[in-house]
Amino acid sequence: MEKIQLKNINKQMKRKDILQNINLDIHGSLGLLGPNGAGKTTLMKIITTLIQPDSGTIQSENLNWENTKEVRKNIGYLPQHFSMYKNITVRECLNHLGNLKGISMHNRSKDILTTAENVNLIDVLDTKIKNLSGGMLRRVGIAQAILGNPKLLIVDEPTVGLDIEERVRFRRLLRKLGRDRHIIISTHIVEDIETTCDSICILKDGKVLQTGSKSDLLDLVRGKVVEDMVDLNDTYLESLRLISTREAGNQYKIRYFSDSVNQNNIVEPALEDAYLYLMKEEDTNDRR
Amino acid sequence: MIYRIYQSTIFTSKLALRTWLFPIFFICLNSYIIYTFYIYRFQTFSPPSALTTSSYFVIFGMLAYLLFGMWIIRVEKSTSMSDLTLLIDNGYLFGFLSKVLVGIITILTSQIILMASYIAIFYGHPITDVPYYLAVFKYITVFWSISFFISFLLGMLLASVIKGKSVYPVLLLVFCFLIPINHVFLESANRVLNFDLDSWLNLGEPNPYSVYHAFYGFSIDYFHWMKKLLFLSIIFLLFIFLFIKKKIIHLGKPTYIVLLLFVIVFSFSAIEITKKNQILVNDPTRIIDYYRNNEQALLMDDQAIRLDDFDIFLKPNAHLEADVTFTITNEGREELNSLHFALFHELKISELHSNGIALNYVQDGDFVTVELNNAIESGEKIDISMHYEGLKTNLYFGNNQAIYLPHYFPWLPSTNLKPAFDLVTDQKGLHRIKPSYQEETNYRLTINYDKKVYTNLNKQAEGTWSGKSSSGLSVISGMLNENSQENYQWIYPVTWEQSVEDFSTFETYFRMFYNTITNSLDLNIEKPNRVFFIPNLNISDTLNGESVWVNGSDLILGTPIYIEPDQDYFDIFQAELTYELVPALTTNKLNTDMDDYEFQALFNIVFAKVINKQMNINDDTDTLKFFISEKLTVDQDVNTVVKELKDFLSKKEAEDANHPLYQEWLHLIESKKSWDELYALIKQFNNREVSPNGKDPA
Repeated sequence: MEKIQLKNINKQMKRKDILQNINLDIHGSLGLLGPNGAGKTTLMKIITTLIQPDSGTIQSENLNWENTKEVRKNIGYLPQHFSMYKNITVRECLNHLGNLKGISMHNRSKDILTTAENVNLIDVLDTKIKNLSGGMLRRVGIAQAILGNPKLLIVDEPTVGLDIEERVRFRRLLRKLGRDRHIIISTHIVEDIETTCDSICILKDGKVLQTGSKSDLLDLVRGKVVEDMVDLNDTYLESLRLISTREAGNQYKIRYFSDSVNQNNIVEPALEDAYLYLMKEEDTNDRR
Repeated sequence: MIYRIYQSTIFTSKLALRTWLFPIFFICLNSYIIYTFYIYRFQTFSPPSALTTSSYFVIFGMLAYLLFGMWIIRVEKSTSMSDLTLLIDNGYLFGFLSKVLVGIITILTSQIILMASYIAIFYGHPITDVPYYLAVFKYITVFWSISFFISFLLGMLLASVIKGKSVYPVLLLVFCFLIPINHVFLESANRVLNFDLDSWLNLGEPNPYSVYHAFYGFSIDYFHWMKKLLFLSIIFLLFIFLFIKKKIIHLGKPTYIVLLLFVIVFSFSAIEITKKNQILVNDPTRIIDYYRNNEQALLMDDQAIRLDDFDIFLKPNAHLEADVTFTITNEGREELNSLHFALFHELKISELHSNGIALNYVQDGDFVTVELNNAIESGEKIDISMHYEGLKTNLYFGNNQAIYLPHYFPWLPSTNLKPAFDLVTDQKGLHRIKPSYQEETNYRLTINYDKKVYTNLNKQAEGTWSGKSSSGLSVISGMLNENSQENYQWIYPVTWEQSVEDFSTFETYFRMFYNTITNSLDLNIEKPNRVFFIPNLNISDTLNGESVWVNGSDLILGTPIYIEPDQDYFDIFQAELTYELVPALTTNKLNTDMDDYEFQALFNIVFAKVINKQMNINDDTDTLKFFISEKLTVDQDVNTVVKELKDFLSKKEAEDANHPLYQEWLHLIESKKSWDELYALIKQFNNREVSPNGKDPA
């Protein structure tokens, strides 16, 4: 599937600007990163065609988003809080959605097996939904989304509520699924994107703060992240732009942004640093 | 597409079955009604009551299906299915259609189970008539299945538009408005609106407190089908608008076609139910109220005109429509510039012309005055054609379910310038005034009807009858069956098969009665050999002599509509029958004045009592005592008659039906004599000796 272009997308809800002038190119796997209320879910729903933007266009080379019928054929969607009828089995759930998607009876059985294998659900196909763990249920969500092999997979907050082990597994799965299709992952957890996405878009208050590859974002803060050992009583701490604080023996290891080029303790930045940097910069701009 | 909906339907059915709650409710609901069938078969035998007394079943069923409809939407909304199906091309729509199909399948399954149970329990015990079972099927369809389906759809609709728990009070409100006992909630609204909102909204049995009308059949009138169609079309239109708003369906050719289809159904059903329809409604005081509020002052004189050569074309559809042409002869000496007829006020004339020229007319109550363009000279004849339609009373019918247009009801123009009913006696009871027919009249009747039609004319071809009658024309059809034996034919409601098995008891009784009355009163009356055994009295009928009528060889043997005769009916009610049969053979055929009723009724009741005694029928009815104490309008004249009569009746000779007093008393009635003359007559017999054989020694 070709690149998807979002141009000047605006959306208001209850007279509040939810999205403002969003311009974005989607190719490969894209992570939508932002705090709660940034407008990620609204943007996702606009891309899925579940809601319409007030203005702006979305299109790829062969597809115009005004033709929702065609667009929907190419979209797989995992909603933020995925849940399913409790008294049906995984197979029945996938079979029902496959049927509604118009997958023929013959291809559906094969498709369900392939999908279940892909998302590692083969052993629980005949287990009722109510007996699945949170991670398993999320896999069912992904399985239903990729049934019919859509060209664009949209995943909203995929790891919320999962334990650490499940999160790691799920991220690996998303990475795998993103190899032969576009995938948009909306999250406020930076690690979700770090391992799964080629490009990242950071949203705040309905605006795009930054888009680019992971290294583009890291470049933003390269040479600006400093680590130091301090006493918590040190008065100068208040003037620092802190990223994190960790206990280390009698002292604390702090991580912060510094614009001074003469720092000795400059470290290699992480994606979370870039994200926080942009958030703080935006806050500073807002205060001004 | 069909396969996708089919597969989705199977999935939704599984989902519903696995709740356990709905399957258990389904089983309980159907078991309850099957148990009701059992009760009406083996404990109180009344096959139709098994359906008409099922309001509780309908109430619980409607609630269950409202909740089922709500659940089937809510269960999806509680998952991610709503969002997911919206993203699939037609996914939401197919899901919706599959849910509707699940509702239909559940309701149809219930209908099949109930219909099969009904047939298994009642068929051949002793009803075997296919039309009756077809009516049962229609009843179950219109008042149970479609009502449940509407409830189911409303549950779906409410759950689709109302979020959260606020759907429950709305659901309860809708439920209260639509159930058969909704008048409990809507009575005050009725008063404010001056409109029967409750009966309009009621989706169940339209007469939840009344009994089955054995002659008319179930009240599966055309109106009820149209009403249900209207409800369904409104609900589906609301769904379509909702889907357009939610962009589940898009405006395009297919949507416009479906929308147009439902708009057509909506318009058609709305127009149809606003038309005049005759519906079997539980409204026993309708006629009484009319005559109480519309005292009919007779402002016109009797005319010496004769009506003959009636050509009648009846169209009994949603209500009675009639095209009637007849010839009028001026038999008086003076020319006539206007004509006066009697015609029942519910039959509204819409066209009236003579030889193609429209005439002005005024219809006032039960009277019609026609202004002639040219006067009719003495001896001159003119043809009058009129089109009239209507009829709403529950006493007479002329629609596609039943026809009851007896000779004693002015459904044809008549020269008898009296209203169709009068309120008589102290209790203001409903009294039918028979139109008078002085001479033999020619009739030609045409009806296209799907049930067998009985008339007192001769059948000429399919749907056409003709002949002469000097006592009027009767047209009868309905949920009737017939049987015959020797010289008798008897016609009766199909559900009364068991009761008329004992017809020979009636035949023996009637033969004896006929011989006694004709000999005693020296009557020259043809012995009826065709008996209509039908319910023709309203619950508000309290007077004697209103149920049984004789028209040539036809005897209409009426009962109140609430009677469900049992097997011993003819045995048990012989004493009461005599009180109805006596006026039928004596005074009902007379052209009497409106205020003659009490004068005649006293004779009829006294003579019936005497006949019962003579026929050794156990008469513990107290009818005479009750009539004198409760109904007779007492004044000085009447008081003296009653006193004298009591003296006479205390004598042994009074028990003889051949006593000359009775014959002379009837002559007094026929010659329109007064209470004074009756007093003199009774006194005369009280004062003289009579020989033991009852003959006057003089």
